[in-house]
Amino acid sequence: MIALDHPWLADGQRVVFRTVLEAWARPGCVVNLGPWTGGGSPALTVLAALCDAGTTFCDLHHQLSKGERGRLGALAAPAEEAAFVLADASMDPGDLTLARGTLLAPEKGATLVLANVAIGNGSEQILSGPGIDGHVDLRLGGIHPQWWTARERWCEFPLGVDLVFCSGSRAVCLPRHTRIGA
Amino acid sequence: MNQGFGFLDDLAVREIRRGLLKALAIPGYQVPYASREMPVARGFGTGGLQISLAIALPRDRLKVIDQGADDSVNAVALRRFIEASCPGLETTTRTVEATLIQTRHRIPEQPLSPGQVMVYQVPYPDPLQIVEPSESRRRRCHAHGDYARLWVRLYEDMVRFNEVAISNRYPARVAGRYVIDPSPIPRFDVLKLHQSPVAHLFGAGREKKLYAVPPYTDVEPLAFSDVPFAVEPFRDATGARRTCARCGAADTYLDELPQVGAASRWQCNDLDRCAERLGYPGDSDHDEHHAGP
Repeated sequence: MIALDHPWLADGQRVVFRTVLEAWARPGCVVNLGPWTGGGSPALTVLAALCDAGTTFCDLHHQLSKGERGRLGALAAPAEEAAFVLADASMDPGDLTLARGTLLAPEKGATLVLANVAIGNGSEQILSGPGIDGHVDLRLGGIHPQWWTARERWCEFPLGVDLVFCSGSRAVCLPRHTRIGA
Repeated sequence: MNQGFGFLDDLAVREIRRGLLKALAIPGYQVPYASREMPVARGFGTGGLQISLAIALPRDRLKVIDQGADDSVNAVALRRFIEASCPGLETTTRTVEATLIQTRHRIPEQPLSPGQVMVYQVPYPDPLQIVEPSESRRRRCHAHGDYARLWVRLYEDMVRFNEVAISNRYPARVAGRYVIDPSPIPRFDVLKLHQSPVAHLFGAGREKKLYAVPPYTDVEPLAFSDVPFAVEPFRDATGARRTCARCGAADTYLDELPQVGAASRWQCNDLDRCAERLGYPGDSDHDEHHAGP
């Protein structure tokens, strides 16, 4: 019972947020959420630290239980309007549309949390841009290739979608400004 | 409502968390947020205070500086408040020991290192405020990257004074896009933001804005190609670089202390750096305590 409650503990959420902040500030840096996932979903742990009734959420592939969605407290919204979107990385996004923000309010661009990613495996991505000293190599597996195509479609700085990849108890972030490729 | 660790309630903390992430994702962009009432008056560092309270952990070591000093009234009051609100959090006056540095007016002289986070108390977040009073029009200017009037202001300074007459809050372009007001740090410190190894988080409580400069990000002060940006020279009448009267440093930002009936005294503004050079790290008042004025 205590382990299951871990994502919802305020102390744990502080640690999780600070860890995510570090990963967000340093794209490609793999961070460990440690025991705060309670052995459960790292994506839920990240969302629990960020969501409440002041934001909107879409569980695209129904990965959370009704109870977990209710406990997040975020208002349900369609994917194209939601501030936070949770999706299964192995699924084809097709022509999924997410909020990219506007030039007057680029912060309205969505945060996409992709679960079931194999961090450290798969094809190598070379990342560069703000937060990265030169470049960094990152291996991500289990991601349907169409997610990368979709990211290219969404991100046109300062508009775009910010990505959080989750795997086991680990997470890695790709804000919209991160460039992929040599 | 949870007013446990960090004073702020859960809704406020999560809103600041979301705002900070978006601020880092859009370097230099001012993210609006609902700045909360704090037990200090707006204008006394509530923006930085809210960021520190939202991100602090019990394992953090906090340093608060105001005008380079750890012992100024504002720095002491904010440090004590954060200390009381965050049980377990330690405080320090040493830059190299701190994991969380809340500042007003200065970036420490010692090089920062990954693992540290800089938090700024910002009075005026918008560099366009000096040329455009309407916030909605300023937002449109930022949206379209239109900083023409700011350039005109710099040009007018050159025509009138033969130099850009902005001593602090010098506008700087972040990651080639947004121009920020880097808070009232002197020009001497603006270059420290460029490709810095740490994240710089800016909070303007009164103006309800958050913005950020991620680590390893280009930050370029606005300057004309034929008039390069220059920091405060600290040169005497002979052209020699002034040195600190306490530690002798010739590479730090100096305060001028006027003396009655004598020439001004110049000394390091960053007291921790000065104390370190004097061999009394962590005791910036050492010579006052032990050797007299």
